Amino acid sequence: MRFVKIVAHVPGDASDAATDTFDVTATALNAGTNTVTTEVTGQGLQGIDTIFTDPGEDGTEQATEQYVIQAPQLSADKTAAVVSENLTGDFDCGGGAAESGAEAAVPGACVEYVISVSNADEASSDAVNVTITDELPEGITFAGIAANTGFDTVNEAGGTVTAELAALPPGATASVRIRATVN
Amino acid sequence: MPRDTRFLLSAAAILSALAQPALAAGAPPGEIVSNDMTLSYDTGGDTITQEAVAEASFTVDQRLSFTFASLDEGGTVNVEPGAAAQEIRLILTNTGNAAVPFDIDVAAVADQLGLTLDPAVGGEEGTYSVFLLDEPGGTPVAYDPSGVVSTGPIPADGSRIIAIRATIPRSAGDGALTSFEVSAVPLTPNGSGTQGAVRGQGLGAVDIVYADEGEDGVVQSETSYQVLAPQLTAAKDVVVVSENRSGDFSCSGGTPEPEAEAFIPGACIEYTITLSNAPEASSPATFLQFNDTLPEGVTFDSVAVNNGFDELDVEGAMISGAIATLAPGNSAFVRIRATVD
Repeated sequence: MRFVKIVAHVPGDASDAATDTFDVTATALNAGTNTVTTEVTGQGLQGIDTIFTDPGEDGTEQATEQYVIQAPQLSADKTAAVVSENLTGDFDCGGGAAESGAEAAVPGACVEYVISVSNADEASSDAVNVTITDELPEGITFAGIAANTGFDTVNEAGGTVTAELAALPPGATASVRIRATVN
Repeated sequence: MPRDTRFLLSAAAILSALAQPALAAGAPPGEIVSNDMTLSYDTGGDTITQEAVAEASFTVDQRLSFTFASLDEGGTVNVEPGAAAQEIRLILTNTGNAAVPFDIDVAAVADQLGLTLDPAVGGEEGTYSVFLLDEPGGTPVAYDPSGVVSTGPIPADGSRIIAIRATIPRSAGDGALTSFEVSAVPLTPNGSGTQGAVRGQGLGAVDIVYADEGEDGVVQSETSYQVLAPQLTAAKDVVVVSENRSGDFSCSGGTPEPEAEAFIPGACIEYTITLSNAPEASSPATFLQFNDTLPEGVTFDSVAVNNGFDELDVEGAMISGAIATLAPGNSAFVRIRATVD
């Protein structure tokens, strides 16, 4: 008896529920050779007949096995909105309540990015050790984290916001609101 | 990664921005601020990293803001009657994030000096003219504030000095005041009309919002000329010092006789000339001078008292006195003796 083991390194971009099917075929060879064994009959009682008694009686057997990817189905979304035009210069961008009608991203204005990371309902597994890294671009300056829903930690250093969570189950969403002022 | 900054600006605007690289007033309108992020998670023993996902962008909008400030302490320039080329100065600063031309209007209010605008900058008494300067020591360029007239674009963080130059009427009294209301309104880039606010452009196009103090696109400053002048009065009276009936009274040094009252020939009389600057006057009188000619019928005898005059001269019947400075509330007088012919 021999075991046949197939070892694969699954591509990192393999999608959830993607499959790869292997057909594995075994064929009898003559002992000590690479010559396919053929059925031999009619050798009488003195000679040696060779008879296939495998299920198909054809000297070959096949089995099918499949890899099925089980992965999270993550999606990320980010929107930007003006929270305050801050024309008077006294708005607290880090924590001030959004002002209705604010729309102009003028220098000094307060903008808010809403970042959401979701694992689809139909995903096969949790997303583990999810990390988002948002390096704020030139033209704005970090002002504060206005809200955090679902991330275990949210930190900012040097204009880069990092948010982490240990596990995001299928159907779950985590979001964070980042405030920044327009330079 | 998110370092993706692009421009919607025209080539001309880019060249303009390069000419003025340091914009403390902020990013120029039209600049696109784009922000994406990196997402990673673990699966199957590997860390999956997705870069440059979930990009969000907005376009920097135009902030129209500007300030006026008087360059004169207290917003008032003290002037003297008849003084020429008296300047009031204000500075208009563009604190927005784009170059903007402005219209300047100047209106004389509470005009006790009766100043009239002279766009031809003739400098005549009782007129004023308006000039623009790029900097305090710059060359004044005449500006007619009538109607809509563009100052030309003032760059972001740039400023322009507005100078009102007047020649004060000689007849202006102490304390007279003329105030000017100076206003600035932003114009469209070609300077043809007022630049209105533009809203509703969303995050992808340029809004224009007023961010001046009143958020109405107009700033005003009031500044004044105030006349500081002495308030002078002059008085002269005459009394009989001695009737000198006996003919032996010394008019030049004799003590006044109490009962003397008759202006008879030979009598000694005394003129008292008094110059006063009122206590409420705003300034001292300087280089003060009087001339007094004794009338026919009397003959100068002597100066009996000089209280406050720096100089006194007598030439025949002409008496002159001069004072360098007569402060408010001060008086000077001189007593002159003469004999009746």
